[in-house]
Amino acid sequence: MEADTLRQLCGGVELAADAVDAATGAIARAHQAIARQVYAPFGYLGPLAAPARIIEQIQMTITIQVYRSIQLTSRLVARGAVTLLQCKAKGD
Amino acid sequence: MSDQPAASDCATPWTTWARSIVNGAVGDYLQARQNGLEIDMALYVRNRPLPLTSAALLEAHPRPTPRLCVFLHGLGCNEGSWAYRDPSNPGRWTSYGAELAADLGFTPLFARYNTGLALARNGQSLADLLNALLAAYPLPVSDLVLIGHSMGGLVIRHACYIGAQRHDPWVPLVRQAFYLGSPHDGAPLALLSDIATRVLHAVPNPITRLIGDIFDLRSQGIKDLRSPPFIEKDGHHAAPRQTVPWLTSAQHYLVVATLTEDPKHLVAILLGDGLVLVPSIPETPPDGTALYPMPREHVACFSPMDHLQLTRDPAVYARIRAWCAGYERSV
Repeated sequence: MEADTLRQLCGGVELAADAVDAATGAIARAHQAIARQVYAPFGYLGPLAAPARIIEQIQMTITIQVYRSIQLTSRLVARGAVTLLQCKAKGD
Repeated sequence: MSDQPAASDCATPWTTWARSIVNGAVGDYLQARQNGLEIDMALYVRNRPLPLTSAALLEAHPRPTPRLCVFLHGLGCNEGSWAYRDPSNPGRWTSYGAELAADLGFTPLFARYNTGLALARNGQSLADLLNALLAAYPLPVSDLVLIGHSMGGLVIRHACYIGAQRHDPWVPLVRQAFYLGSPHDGAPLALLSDIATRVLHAVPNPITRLIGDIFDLRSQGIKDLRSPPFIEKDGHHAAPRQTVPWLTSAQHYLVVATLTEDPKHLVAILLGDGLVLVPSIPETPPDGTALYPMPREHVACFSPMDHLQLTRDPAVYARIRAWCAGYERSV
């Protein structure tokens, strides 16, 4: 494999991982904003406000962890793919 | 290797197109991240960068001539956008460069660059590239003709301005500059996407904000197409904003197109060639500070034709050839 081809392939993999990272982050922010809108009215309903806040916190934590795991998996896959490409190039 | 440049010199495979499109969309990001997909500005022959050494230039062009024409593609494109089927021999591919070589003895050179970068930055790279080309070229250069499609025309304007400021040796050699569908007044689609982004961000809704964020990821090169090319200093527009002046020592030629056969049709007025509108050129040739400092006979409008067709149409080539030949006669 030519050095330039390898550089481009690695660049493509890194760009794909960056895109997943950015898209996941943006969707996570939109998801949280929408969830906050749903829970907001409960803040005005006296006895329901406190349990609603707890449920909101739990949901937000789970949501953030799901998105972070997607980002982490994507990064790991990208790093693995780049390493494989580099090994293959060395083998060639 | 044949003596005449072949159209295959500028033909490119789909992978190159994919890379060029990515560079056009997010090229500034690629550069900031030092991503391997980023394209460095260079002259390309047969899908490979041409090292600027006498030996490499002689290998690519075994019979070089003192007359050079340099081609610059538009946003998200590469040198492959100049290749088209020869209408007189459909089995053969050709390009304006190959035809100018055969008809008028030019040596054609095709540049490829990261169209996602700021126009001024690409202008500086082009000025540097032309300096290096002139230093390495195996013959003394007598004429330099610059031909830019769309964004490429604006990069040429920036390069000429930067080169003139620095007194680069290639600047006095530029006899003619051709701008094919270049948005000297700004491209309405780029302006529209800018307005859409602002509106989407202004709406207090997470989904519209998300879409606005995605719109905002577009490259600086695309954002620069919103307005006329402005002078930049240290990466920022000079205050007050000044449009990049035209090179006074060269002849400038505009080639524009309209989607409809009648250039005065409402669709032609509103959409131009689909991406760039037809500019209104003043009746009398004005001085160098005017928005369009060229006489009307230096402007050609082709109808019906779309934006991309401007790089690969025999009628457009015939006009460019006539202008080049006419200039030769005049001097």
